[in-house]
Parts: sequence; C-alpha cells; structure tokens
Amino acid sequence: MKIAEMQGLSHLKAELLDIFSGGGYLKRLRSIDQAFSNLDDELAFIMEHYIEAYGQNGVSISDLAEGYAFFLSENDKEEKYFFEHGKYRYNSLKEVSERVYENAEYMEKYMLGLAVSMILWPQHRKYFRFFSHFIDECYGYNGKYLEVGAGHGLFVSEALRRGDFEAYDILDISEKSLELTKRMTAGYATSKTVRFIHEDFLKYEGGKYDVISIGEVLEHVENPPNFLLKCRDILTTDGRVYLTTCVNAPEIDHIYMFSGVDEVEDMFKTAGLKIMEKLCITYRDYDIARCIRQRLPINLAYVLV
Amino acid sequence: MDIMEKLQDIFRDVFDDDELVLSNETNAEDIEDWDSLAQIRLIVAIEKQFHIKIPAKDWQGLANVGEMAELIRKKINASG
Repeated sequence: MKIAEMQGLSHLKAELLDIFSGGGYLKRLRSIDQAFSNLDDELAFIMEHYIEAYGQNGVSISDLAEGYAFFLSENDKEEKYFFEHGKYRYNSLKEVSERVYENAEYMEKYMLGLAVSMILWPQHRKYFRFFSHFIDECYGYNGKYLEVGAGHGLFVSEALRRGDFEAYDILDISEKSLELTKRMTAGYATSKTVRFIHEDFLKYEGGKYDVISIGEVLEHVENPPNFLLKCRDILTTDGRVYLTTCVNAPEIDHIYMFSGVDEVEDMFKTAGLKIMEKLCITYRDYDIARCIRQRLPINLAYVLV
Repeated sequence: MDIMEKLQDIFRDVFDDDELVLSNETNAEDIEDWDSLAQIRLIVAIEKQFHIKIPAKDWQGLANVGEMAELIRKKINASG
C-alpha cells in the first residue's frame, strides 16, 4: 500500500507541510516531503498503525503535527544554547523534572513530537530498525523484558508486537510518559503480561531481567555509570541490553554531555558490559573526527551483554 | 575586513570548506549541507563575530547572504 493510500500518514504529511509552509522553512518542507517519500513499506505500515492507535486513544493527527512543530522549536533553542555555551542547558535531574517531566502539558507535546521524529529523522529510523532487528533476534528467547524510559511508547509497542517475552515491565520516571505508553500499547497489552511502573530505575527492585531496553536514557541522567552498573546487576547471565545514547545532541532534558564515543564505551567496560553489536550514526554521515571537532551530533546504538 | 569577507570565513568554517565562495545571491539552495542545524551554527557564529543579537524571527525569510549582510549591517549600526 502506498503512502498516499495510508490515510493517517497522508494526513500527517499534509498537516506538517501546512505548518511549515510559511516563514522561510523551504528546506524543512523539502526534507519532510522527502522523508515521507522514502519511507519504506514496513516502517510506513508500522507508523500508520501507530497513528491509528494514537487516534483511538485521544491523540489526533493535528496533535502529532503540532507536537512535532513544538519539539523542533524547543530543539532549535537548545541547539543555539549549546553552540553559544558549549554545554547542555541543564545538568541536574531536579531542573529537568521541574521543567519537563512534571509538566504534563509539556511532556505530552514533546513526546508526540519525538514520536513523529521517528518517521522523519534518518537517525531515528535507523535506531528503530536496529531495535526491530534486535527484538527479532530475541524471538523465542522467552524471558522477562524491561523497558527503562518508555518515552513515547513506540519502542515498547514494537517490543510487544514483535517480541515473545513472558512478561514486560515498563518503567519511567514520568507519569505522562507511562500514560502515553499505556494508550499506545493498549491493543497489544491485553494478550501479554505487562506492568507499567512509575519509578526511578536506580531505586527499582524488580528482580532479574533477560532483556533490558534502555533507549535514549543515559544522556538524561546525572550518573550514567550507576545506571550501567544497575543494568549489569539485574541482567541474567545470558541476558542482553539494547541501549542508545548520543553525543553533542542538546535537548531540553539532556543533562549528561558525553565528550565522545570513547567515553560511552569506556563506561560500558567499567560496568562490565561488552559490546555485541554497534550502530554509529553521525550527522550527515560526516566522519567522527569532524563531528567531535565541530560538536555535531553522533547517535549510538548498542547491543550489550 | 568587511562584513561579506567575515561572513565568508564563518561559512567556510561551518561548512568545513576552504574553497567556498559567497556572493550576495548565495542562499541555502546553493549549499547542500545548509540545513536547520547549520543555520543555527551560522547564527551563533555571526552573533559572536559581530557582537550583536538578532531575534529568531528576523532571520526567517532572509532570501540570501546579501540580505543577511544587510541585516547584520543594520544591527551593528543600531548598536553602535
């Protein structure tokens, strides 16, 4: 089925193009148009389904489009701050909790915008495919699955859709994220054992897990090494961790600024976690040296054991 | 060094291209890597170089580098 025949995606595209049609956003318009045009069939099908799921749970296509515009606007402000000051704006959980996680209205718009970026941003699409492949590799590997930081719920939904785990525990420090995720996963959760847990991961006592998904979390915490040690401590002997993080990627609630890829991978070593698979996505496919020199984004995805 | 010369140095640094040559007509369509992130980097470098602050809305709708230089000139004169 072509995108034009997928009502949700077509409608979302039209709304986004309308939002950005004024004010000198010519390149942004073009990149939105291109992103929809080169969406592969499988991702298009998945995103169409999620748009429907959102719709059935009170989130309209306008909400998604406006969320994306808001997300970009907030991102632009953080990028400017980063290039002006050479650091992320906030560096404590307290600051971002007050500004973001405890602000339900902000969180909803921001999370919806982040969800739309899964369709539009090449690096997020690559993450999603890497995750889908990881879940496929886990198929038949029954056990307990833990998602740390549910966010917008797309990855959790994918784990529920593709995976075959005996139990799914979904943990987030933000009640709004959990609420969004519950809505997103309502269709899958009925046939599986799913718990939604509002808790700080470092304080969480839930036993051992066979698969831990910790996507885009490390840059949101004050002490990433402690997070990694906790991952290692609650992972079963043959367990696996899916983990993504980023370098030079300012967002409103990013508080830990990694100096480079080496710092990330040294932390894994210190925590006793070994890299089984790795995906490194640099901004515009520039080489890593240029990204470090010019403080440009590097997105990283790993499978750890 | 005049404004266009300084702008050229900034553009060469941001786009990592020592051969880049600007004209008044140069715009984002002429430089493939000139996306929204590059635009932010240009703005930050320009504001730092010329010791000015330009509201975000003033940057939108600029058609080319010539209009950019003119905006910078006006801001320098206004703050002078």
